[in-house]
Amino acid sequence: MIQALAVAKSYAALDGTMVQALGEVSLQVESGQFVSLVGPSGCGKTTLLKIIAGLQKPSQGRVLRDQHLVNGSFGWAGYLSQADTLLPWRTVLANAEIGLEIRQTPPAARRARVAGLIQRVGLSGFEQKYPSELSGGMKKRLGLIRLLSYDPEVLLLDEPFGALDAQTREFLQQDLLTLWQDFHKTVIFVTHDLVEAITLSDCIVLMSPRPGRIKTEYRVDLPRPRSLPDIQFSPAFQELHRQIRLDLQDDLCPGLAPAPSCA
Amino acid sequence: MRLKIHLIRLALVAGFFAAWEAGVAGGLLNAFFFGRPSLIFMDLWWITVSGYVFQHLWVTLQESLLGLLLGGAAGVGLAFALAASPFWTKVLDPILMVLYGIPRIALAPLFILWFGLGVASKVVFALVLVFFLMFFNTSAGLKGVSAEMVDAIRVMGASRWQLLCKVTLPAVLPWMLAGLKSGVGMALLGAIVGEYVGGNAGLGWMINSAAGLFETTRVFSALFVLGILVLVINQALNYVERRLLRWRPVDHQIG
Ligand SMILES: Nc1ncnc2c1ncn2[C@@H]1O[C@H](COP(=O)(O)OP(=O)(O)OP(=O)(O)O)[C@@H](O)[C@H]1O
Ligand SMILES: [Mg+2]
Repeated sequence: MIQALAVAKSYAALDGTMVQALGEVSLQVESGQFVSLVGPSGCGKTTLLKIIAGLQKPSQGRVLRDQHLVNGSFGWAGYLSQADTLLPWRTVLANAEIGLEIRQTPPAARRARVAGLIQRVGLSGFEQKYPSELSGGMKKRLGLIRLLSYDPEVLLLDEPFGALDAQTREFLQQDLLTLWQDFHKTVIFVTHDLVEAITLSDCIVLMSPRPGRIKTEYRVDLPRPRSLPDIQFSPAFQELHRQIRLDLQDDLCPGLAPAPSCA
Repeated sequence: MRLKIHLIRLALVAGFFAAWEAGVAGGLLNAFFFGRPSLIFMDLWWITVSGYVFQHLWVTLQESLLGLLLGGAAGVGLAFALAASPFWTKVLDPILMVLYGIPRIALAPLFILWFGLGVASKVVFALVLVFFLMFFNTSAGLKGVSAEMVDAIRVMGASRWQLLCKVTLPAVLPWMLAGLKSGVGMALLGAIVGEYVGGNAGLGWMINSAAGLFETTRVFSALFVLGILVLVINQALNYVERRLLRWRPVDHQIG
């Protein structure tokens, strides 16, 4: 279980003034849960994710993993940032293996573990290619299995499908759905896309504009296993979509009711 | 395509020498001042078969390669050390800028004074020239290492050492290689100027003493040998670069 307790973050802007990027946020994510963070650009989603990952210190509050402070301990999570962070000098295979390499897993075991994943996401035959030779969608897939290979408890995914065309996006969403159903990781997923959030998540956390706070949490009670695009045309989906959309537009008069929690 | 490039290149060089030769033969250029390709090639042949050139080539090669390696290592080392310490970066930054700004050619006589007429003074001089080049190149490369990339691997649980070996070093490698390539010229410059200022062997010394005797042909012979040397070292470095940077998209590779 991941808990963010009254976490807030201010940055020193270049002119020396302090800019609050993230308001006070408390969030609880149960093990095995898929939670999406949704909110307008600049509301602090990336900041929150980095704080949870332990990459940034919050100006206030703390983050607990199974009741323990995450203070600078790494290795329990996998972080996929908004930018492409594949290592361009490593082949597909070597990129996929890096997490295991860091754990000093013997080469044969690494190869065996990664081979299955590479096949699952359709990268077979590309093992010896470099990232510059892959399409955008293939890079995202490689980014995902690079995390799955070393089997972290928690996946922190920052708009992983942001800059892709609609069709590739949908394929990847389906990939992620089935991967998640098989591996049952805790996932915190940042996205701008409501349809994507509802399709994938157990819970959606809607944030208000900067400095971001949690506005509303929505439970997504759609049955699993889910498959695309069927689920997106179910009445329950449409209703939830409508509700969140209205809530997003309502940002001018926030906090009408205290938000229900998913946990 | 490759063949065409090679042929045109060869034609340009041959054309240049032909025009030069014709210019001298036609009386347009004075061979005393400008040399004459046919005489230069004969001289080259002579200094090669007699082995005269090799003893000097070896001296210059030693000086510049040692300077290149030592200066390169020092520059890279300091760049990495300072990247790890913002405090010492602040302390040393103006000092390094001043040292860099001093016309270092002016230091050559001092080095001769301190380290003697032999190989050592030239190595040190080449080292100093290469050092700054490698330092600034590596520093620029280190600043450009994507923090997001490092973070992604850090979250996986990588130690500082693993981050250095698996992310930072490979990310900076292209910058270090670029520095090394321009460093070759610097190292040679250091060795040659050192030999000019005070020495008793090497290609620079060969040029200087020939010029003192108005042996223009010999000066050009030595320059020709230097050119070949640069070409060979560069080709070797290009080969290393192609091997190490195979992952780069093809349009980065020139030549
Ligand atoms: N290193 C930094 N220094 C100063 N300000 C920053 C820094 N990083 C982020 N900010 C500010 O903090 C705010 C939140 O940024 P953050 O990247 O978390 O937003 P986001 O919700 O992820 O936005 P997007 O959806 O566009 O990715 C922004 O207003 C940004 O200007
Ligand atoms: Mg972001």
